[in-house]
Amino acid sequence: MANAVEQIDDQGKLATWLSNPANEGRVVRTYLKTSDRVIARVTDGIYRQPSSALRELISNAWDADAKNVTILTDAPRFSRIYIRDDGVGMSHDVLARLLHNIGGSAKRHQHGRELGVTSDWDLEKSPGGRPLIGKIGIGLFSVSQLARRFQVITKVAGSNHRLVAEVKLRAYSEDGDYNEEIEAGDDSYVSGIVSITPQYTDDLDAHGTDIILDDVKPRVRDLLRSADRWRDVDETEAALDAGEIDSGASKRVEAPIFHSGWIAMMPRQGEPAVLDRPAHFPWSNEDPPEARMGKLMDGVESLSSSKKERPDLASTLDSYLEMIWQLGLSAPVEYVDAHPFDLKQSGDLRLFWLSNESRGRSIELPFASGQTVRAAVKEHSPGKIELKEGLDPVGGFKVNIDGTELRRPIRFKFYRTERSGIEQAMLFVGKYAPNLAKIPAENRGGKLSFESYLFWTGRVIPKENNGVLIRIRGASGALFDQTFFKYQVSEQTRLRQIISELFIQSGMDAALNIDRESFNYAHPHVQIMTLWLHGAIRQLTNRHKEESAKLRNAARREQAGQTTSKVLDRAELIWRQHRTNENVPDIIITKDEEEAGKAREQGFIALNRSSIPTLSSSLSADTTVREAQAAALTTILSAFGLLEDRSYEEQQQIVEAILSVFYEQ
Amino acid sequence: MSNAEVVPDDLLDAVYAEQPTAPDLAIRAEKKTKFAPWHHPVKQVVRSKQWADLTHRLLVDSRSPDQQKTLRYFTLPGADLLDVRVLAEALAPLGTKIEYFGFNAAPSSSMEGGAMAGVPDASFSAESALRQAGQITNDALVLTDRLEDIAIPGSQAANQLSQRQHFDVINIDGCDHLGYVPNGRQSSTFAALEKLLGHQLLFRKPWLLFITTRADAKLLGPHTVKMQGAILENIRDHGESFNPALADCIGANIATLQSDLNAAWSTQSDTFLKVYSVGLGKYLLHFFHGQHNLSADVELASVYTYPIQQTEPDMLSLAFRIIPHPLNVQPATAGTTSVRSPLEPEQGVKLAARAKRMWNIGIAVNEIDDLRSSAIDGTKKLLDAANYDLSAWQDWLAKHTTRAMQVEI
Repeated sequence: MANAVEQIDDQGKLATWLSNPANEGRVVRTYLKTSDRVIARVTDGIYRQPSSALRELISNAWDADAKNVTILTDAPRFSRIYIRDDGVGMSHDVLARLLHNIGGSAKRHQHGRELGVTSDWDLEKSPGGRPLIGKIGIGLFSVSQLARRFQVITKVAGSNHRLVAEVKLRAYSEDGDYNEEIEAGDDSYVSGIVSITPQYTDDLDAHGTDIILDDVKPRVRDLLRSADRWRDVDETEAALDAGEIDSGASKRVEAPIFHSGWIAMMPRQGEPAVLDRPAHFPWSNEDPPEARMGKLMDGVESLSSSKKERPDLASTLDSYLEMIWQLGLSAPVEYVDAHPFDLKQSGDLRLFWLSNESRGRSIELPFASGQTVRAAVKEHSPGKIELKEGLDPVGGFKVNIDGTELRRPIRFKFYRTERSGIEQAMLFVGKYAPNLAKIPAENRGGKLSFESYLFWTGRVIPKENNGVLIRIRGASGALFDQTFFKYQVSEQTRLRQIISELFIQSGMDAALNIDRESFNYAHPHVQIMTLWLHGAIRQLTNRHKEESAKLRNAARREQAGQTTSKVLDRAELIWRQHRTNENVPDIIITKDEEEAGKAREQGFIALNRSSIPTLSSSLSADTTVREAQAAALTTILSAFGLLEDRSYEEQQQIVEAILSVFYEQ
Repeated sequence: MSNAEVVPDDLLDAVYAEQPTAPDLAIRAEKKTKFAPWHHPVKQVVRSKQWADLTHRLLVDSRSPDQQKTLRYFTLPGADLLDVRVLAEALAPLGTKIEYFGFNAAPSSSMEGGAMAGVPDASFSAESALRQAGQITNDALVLTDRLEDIAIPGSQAANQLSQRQHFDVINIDGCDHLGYVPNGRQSSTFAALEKLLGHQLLFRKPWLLFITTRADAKLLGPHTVKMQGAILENIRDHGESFNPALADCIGANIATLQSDLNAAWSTQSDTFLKVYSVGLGKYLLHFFHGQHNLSADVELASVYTYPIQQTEPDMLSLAFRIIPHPLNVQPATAGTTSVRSPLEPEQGVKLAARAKRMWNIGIAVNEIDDLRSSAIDGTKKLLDAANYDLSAWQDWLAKHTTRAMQVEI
């Protein structure tokens, strides 16, 4: 027979009940509630992707001074998800407050000190001294994105009990068909019901929090396992096999290259689950966790010579691996290789210091071989600036998902895209801490300071790493913004060649919308940051134009007197009309794919002759003419941006399709 | 009549359908009052004297202090993680954390899974307690698949296993016999064992294989042919050294060994249990001997038996120590024929000698006071930690139909 379950909806009484050893093994029930209708709505989910919920839980673990967070799934089935951390855990007081004050986080408040969730000496920091990411108090309820029901098992060190809580969330409704609010007996909005039991233990040292989702929403499982995509792939392949569609149509649906596998028919309870497609990870089982994000990057990057100039995550990875990638970008963890400020000069990088003046000009800094960016900036920048970002004062923070340690998947590699173009990457570094003292406090929006870099390389791989990413206190909810906060100047090619991050050290928090994925553009900090960023981009592009112009003039002198065909001359003329400041691309026709791959790495646009029947079938006398025409055609298509983001195969198909109009096979 | 749009159920299922989940916390938090064979103190002897002691010895004898930090453990834990708790306590002095991986699909697949029949998540709080105390690693994971599914090509169970590294200890703690094929499946526990052996092949450090199985002369599956064949092959090829050891083990006469052997396989008795142990050991020896350059010795470290379904012993708890050989460099003249050592005669003799010393812990726990009291105390502690009602356990033991026992609580 079940124990009689007591209902306690007063926060203080609940905390007292939980702390009473006489209640071991008993269960108390309480409403999960808030006095704010908006927050009640928020607990039902505000994010666009399942990964956002995991991001919030990782941030919570960071705030709880965890050193290790482990997320376990049984991909590609996703029947359960565990989130485990070794942080400080939640006491009965913290849990009681959390459940009855959703959206009323004690973090960054005096009350947080009393509860032990905030540093004694700095309200903005965790007890262990980390800058707190959370501030609102809805992070835990981001789980509602993934499951209606979940368990939290938490313990603080020194306590003689752990708390086991089972949270059942209700789906938010505005149509009044659910009257739990009335049952709550006050003006609160009820978002769910929580059952809690204290379990006593003599292990006082144990601490940490486990969150277990054992009934992941079916649609969320489908999203995580890329179900819609795989079903399309299956259907297309079946139709192809049956001769019902042509191969051209099938190219619109492509299987991910790297993935966690696919189970087409989820088995009923008790039946074996069998994968229809085995997993294809970019790492091997022997690769240690800390090497796997690097392997994931290697896998994506490797496609740039064989498949697409700028491989994109969406077509390369399944949702699961893309989620790992995005969490790596957002979490306060190490970079795959090195922090940009810890890059060492090895001959392929030029370093510039950004001016904070509105029409300022960057300064090139001496950058000795083997020296780090941080050291060079300290030695040579105006004011001898000591960059703080990347120096972790509070110890490591590691996040592991199914055996993969998250690392920020950003690399600073130089890719050549023009054979005679710039031969080194360029790193622009800056720091901005405006004196806002003269601005009235009510308009100021608080203090603001940040460090930043803009990295220019011929090609940003993957495509999604192009743009600017804003990190606040080491974490980021938003991904790279490819518009650079709506940078208006027409610099499309150069903008596509920039990776930038802004490391916010103070301010901007208030400008972050509640989902932590977007910003309030009306906030003064966003406006200041945007103006600074646009100035920095201008400094980069100006510098790049100057360098390119030098190389272009040198190339013209070298080419003077060389004879080219009329069609190529015409194509170059068209190119210059449309791409004033950019060098004419070098086109090469290769005999096979391998040669094409090598040529692409050297900055050529390569066409593989054997993939273009009009070229490969021509008589030798015609070959030179046709190849010149193909090169001219490619130049013109590029000038109009018509080949951008198309696979090499597609680019060759377009050239072939046009040529075939003129040369009947 | 409602004018709401009629939505097909499959669309609703895609959004609202939920998996079967555990009962409410209020029910799970109650003291548990249902008991199963593995709650008997006899099982504690296996957990403590066989699994924990041998595992501790493995780490001390064949792992560096750094390697002792983590025990990679394959298990079929029940909801209460009783085996993990015992190992964790035994290994605590070494500072070892257990990184377990295993399956717990249904009560019948596991010795400890029955008490909370159909409750997939009752282990969560047990697991969290162990993890937060630093006794298991953050990666410890139990999946809801069946062990037997690892023998299905392309199954999720096989997929997950393939992503794991090698295990220091594999513990197949089954309720049924090795040839058991669960409902709706085509592969047996023995087939799963073979997959696990394959998974371990590249592991070049000594490791332990614990097998607990029903051993009933009336329930011999097709796999028994492999075990019998392994013994017959040794009799044929190395009879001179092996036959006396085998005859001594099963109390047979050398002159009538073949017929005595046949009789041993067909009658439930200690002799049957011993020949079963030798047969399984010989099968493992054959398996590893056949792996040319990945061969290994197989030692039978201990054999325990006790009754579970009958008054006569019908359960075997076997502990094998697998000791991989160094790489065998082939001479250039070997050509396409690899040069192999003769078929493990010495190991076979040792197996038979160890099987002869099979220990009936069902009897021992009644006759040896220290053993009984440590088994009772150990079980009591485990059950208390796992939220069992100890007075109900006391009643259950007192009224046990085949192994009644009086305990103080």
